[in-house]
Amino acid sequence: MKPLDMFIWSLKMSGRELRSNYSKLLLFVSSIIFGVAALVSITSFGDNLNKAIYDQSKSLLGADITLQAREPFNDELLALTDSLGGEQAEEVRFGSMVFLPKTGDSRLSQIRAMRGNFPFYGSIDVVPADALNRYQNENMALVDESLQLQYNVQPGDSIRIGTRDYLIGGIVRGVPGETAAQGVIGPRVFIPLETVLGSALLQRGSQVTYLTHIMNPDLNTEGNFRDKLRPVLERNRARIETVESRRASLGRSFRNLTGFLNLVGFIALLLGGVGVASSIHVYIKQSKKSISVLRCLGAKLPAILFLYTCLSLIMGLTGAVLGILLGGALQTLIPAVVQDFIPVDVSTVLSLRAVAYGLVVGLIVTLLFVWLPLAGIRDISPLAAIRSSYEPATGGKTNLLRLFVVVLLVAFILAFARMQTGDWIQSLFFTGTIGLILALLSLMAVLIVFLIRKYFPNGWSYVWRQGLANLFRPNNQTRMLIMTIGFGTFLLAVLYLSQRVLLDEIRIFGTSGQANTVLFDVQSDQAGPVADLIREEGLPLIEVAPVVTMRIESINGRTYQSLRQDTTGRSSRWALQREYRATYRDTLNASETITAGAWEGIYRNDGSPVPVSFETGIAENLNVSVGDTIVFDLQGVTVETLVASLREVDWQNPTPNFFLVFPNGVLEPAPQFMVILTRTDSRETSARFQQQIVQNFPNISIIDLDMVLATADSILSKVTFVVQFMALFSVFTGIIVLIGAVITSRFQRMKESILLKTLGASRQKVTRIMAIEYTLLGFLAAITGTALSVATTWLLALYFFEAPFRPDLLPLLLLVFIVIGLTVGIGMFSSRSFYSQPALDIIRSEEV
Amino acid sequence: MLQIENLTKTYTSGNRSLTVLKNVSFSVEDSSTVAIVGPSGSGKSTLLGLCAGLDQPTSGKVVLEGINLSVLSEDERADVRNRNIGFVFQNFQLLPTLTAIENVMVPAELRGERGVYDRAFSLLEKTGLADRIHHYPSQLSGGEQQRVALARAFINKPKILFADEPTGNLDDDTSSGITDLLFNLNRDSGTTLILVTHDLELAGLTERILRLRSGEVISDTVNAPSVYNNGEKGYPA
Repeated sequence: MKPLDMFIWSLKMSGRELRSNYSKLLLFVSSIIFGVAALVSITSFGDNLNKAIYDQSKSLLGADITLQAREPFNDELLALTDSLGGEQAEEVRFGSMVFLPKTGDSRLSQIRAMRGNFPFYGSIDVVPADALNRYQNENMALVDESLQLQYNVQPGDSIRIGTRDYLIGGIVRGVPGETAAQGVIGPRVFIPLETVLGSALLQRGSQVTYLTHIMNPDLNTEGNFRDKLRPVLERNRARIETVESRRASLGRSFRNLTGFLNLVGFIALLLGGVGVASSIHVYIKQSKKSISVLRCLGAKLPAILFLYTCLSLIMGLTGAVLGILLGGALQTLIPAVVQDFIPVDVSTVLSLRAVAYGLVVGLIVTLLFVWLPLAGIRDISPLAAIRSSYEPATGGKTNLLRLFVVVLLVAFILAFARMQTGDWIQSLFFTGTIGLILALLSLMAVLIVFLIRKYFPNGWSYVWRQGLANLFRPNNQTRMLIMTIGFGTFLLAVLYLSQRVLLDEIRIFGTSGQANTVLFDVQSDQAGPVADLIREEGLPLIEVAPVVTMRIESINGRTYQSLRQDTTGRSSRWALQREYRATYRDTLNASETITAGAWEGIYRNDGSPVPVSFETGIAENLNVSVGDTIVFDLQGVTVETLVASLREVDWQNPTPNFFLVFPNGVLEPAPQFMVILTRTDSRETSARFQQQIVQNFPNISIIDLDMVLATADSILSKVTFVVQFMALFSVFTGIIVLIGAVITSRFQRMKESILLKTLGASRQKVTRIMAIEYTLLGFLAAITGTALSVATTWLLALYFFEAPFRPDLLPLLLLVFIVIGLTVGIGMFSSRSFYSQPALDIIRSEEV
Repeated sequence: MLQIENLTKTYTSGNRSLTVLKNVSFSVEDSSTVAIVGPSGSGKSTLLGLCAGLDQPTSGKVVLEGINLSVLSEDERADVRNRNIGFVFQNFQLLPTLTAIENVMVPAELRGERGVYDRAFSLLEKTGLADRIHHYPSQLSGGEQQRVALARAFINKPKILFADEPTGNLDDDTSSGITDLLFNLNRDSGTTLILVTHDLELAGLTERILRLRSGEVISDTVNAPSVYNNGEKGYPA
């Protein structure tokens, strides 16, 4: 047969197969629908997001250029901004307590003190809208919607920042280029710049960022524009952002987001692939007789393989098209799901690239997965047409073919993950984890079946014995169902448990005796009165830590500038450039362990370099070790230090932890502020104490760790919702695969049920046998998936989150019951017609 | 037409081996009819499988139309089967997803032939199924299914037809009709017929009977005069 004839014959035969089995095959196809839908919806969303970022890039920055520094612009920077021309706006950004006289509450907020018409592009969404044009002239404040939601403040109410009261002019609903989640972390409050200049809020040591926004459309900010300005900016430790750089950094972030979501969706597609493979496996088994007859009649192996490949491709194509349609509908929902995390308005037009992507990936997954069972066609001998009991052993060539397909499959998953993450290590981790979990689930299924067979409870009732035996009978779906249902359960449980680990970690702060209130920016002369106030309120003074800010001047004689410009250097730029907040003391605290060198708590003042201790992580980023010398610039004074020791720091310990610790005897005279830790036991005490601090010491910022916990909870819930939304695709795929598996094994089960019925079994008995089978399947899959999720989360907690893991059993048990319920429900629903089927039809059925 | 030389077939399972055919040799002339008879387990079906190139012998050789099947690959043997051999099975072995006429067309389609519908229809007409051509196997009776199988066996004008217990699943009346049809079609097309059966009455209709027992040919007798040789229909006394 010529290749063209083979192609035509295969297509013709595929059509004939589909004509007779379309309902059975449609279910096979359905397995990939949700996976393709997930990919199409996320890819389309990603494309629309990219387009939105490109289209709205000017309003993302709000200007053509933004310059920023940690100190007021010096003459050189002012000269630079002057040279850039155009219209300019100034902003001073800092954290401060905002006191709400109406409720008596205080909240650490992000203050944006503005002068000028920023944003030049796009607009801050304020209610009422005219407040944006009035607030600077009328010395009013615009407050974040999150502050309104939390404390019910309204336009017309007043807030106090530092010592000054402001009337609330409007409620900020959105800031161009910023996400809603940013407002939850720290509510944004816009006030006129004039009202804070020279105030105590901007004193030395406070965390303040000075920005100048420039609108000058005539400037060409593309190409090497930033490079040309770099020397001046680096000399002054300032940064520049242009529309292009903001667009690029946002593009990178959201590529990561859509890449991650695509991977979660891809898992659904892989699960669907497992379902397709299993369905085809059973289909081929049921078609064995036909295949052997075809071979008898002279069909060559390639022709038969081609026939079933054609059939699978037609099914895959149908599934992919249905998936694309579903994905097209779902992609209109994605922007709403992730709206808190995206800074732009995203359209919901289905992108052609997403359609092509879904089609190609869906077909590749189908093809790769169906080739695993199709390889078995090699072993179907024409002899089986005349000898029904003929069962040849699996040939070596078949195993080789299967191995080749598995290698292709792994390579494809790896390549797909690499495309999404852009990182080989992460892709290997993704592929390895999926492979390992599926292998473990498969192994567990084999082990369970083996154990049931070996220790079969012969003494149990007939119904139980039948139900158990169904797990290992020919055409059973045990392994496939445990793999798909187990994997779905695993995904959901890992997501839930990981979220708990992160929240529990934050909750440690709230445990009895630990500090839950941190006071920042306490000036030296305020430390005594603040401590007195704490005592007067009957609160414990848990810790007072001095903080001195400094920057790196040189390392081992090489200046900061030369180190930054050295592209071959191994020091991280951010670690070199950052402002260090160091403390000094003579002892290590409970969260610190020396890992190299020796701790020195007192400086002998003999003119030698000051022995300091670095945290191991930052030492690695700076590429320094014990014995290296580092010169720091302490607000104009240089101090030569020697790395005397490296410390491992337990960052989870709720004490002030530092990258850099000096010994006593050096920094005492330096300008400094204090961090003070205390504990409040009730919301009322906390509110009263914060009110006292804000009123008496307006420059001091208070971090209420209970508030941090609530905020983290809210953010994590939103993140979890997004991920769970994607995980739902896997759950739906699991359900489809489950229905497919039940229908696939339907004829086998139906014949058994009818025979039992013919032999006198009651409907109740037949139903109970099936119920037991599906309960066991659901139970085994759910328990295995949950157990693997506990093990995986434990590993994640140990090595990734570095946090203790205490699984909460109750929700896990609930999940197990839900999975069992779903499995039994779907299984019984799909088998509901078994008993009512006429016995003769089934017994005479050729397809069994 | 067909030469069998020292054919031996041994099946091995684990450490145990079972020889089901031992040094079987015979040859079959063009257009002749041969019955292979023997009790269950005597190796009839195994011998048929080897003769038709469905399996490979452990030793010995099968030469069909001058082609040594023993040295060919499975796909090469499939080609030989498609060009030279027709099959009729005890269980009919129609493809359940294909209609009657589609089942008949398959062997011709496998050769890459197009426009075989008329030929298939004409064969089904000869078998008396002209009004059932669009029925699926499950909609046909056993006798009707075997008629479709017979039409399928002759679509490629085979040089040799292997029939494995062709009436084994049919009642007496239907068997008689199928037997008539089988021998008539065979005579009309001048095909060599090799019939495997344990029905001695059916075997008696052939020119030659090979008796098998425990994998060995115990007798090879000429069954003359055949009632079909002179073109008359009838059963031997």
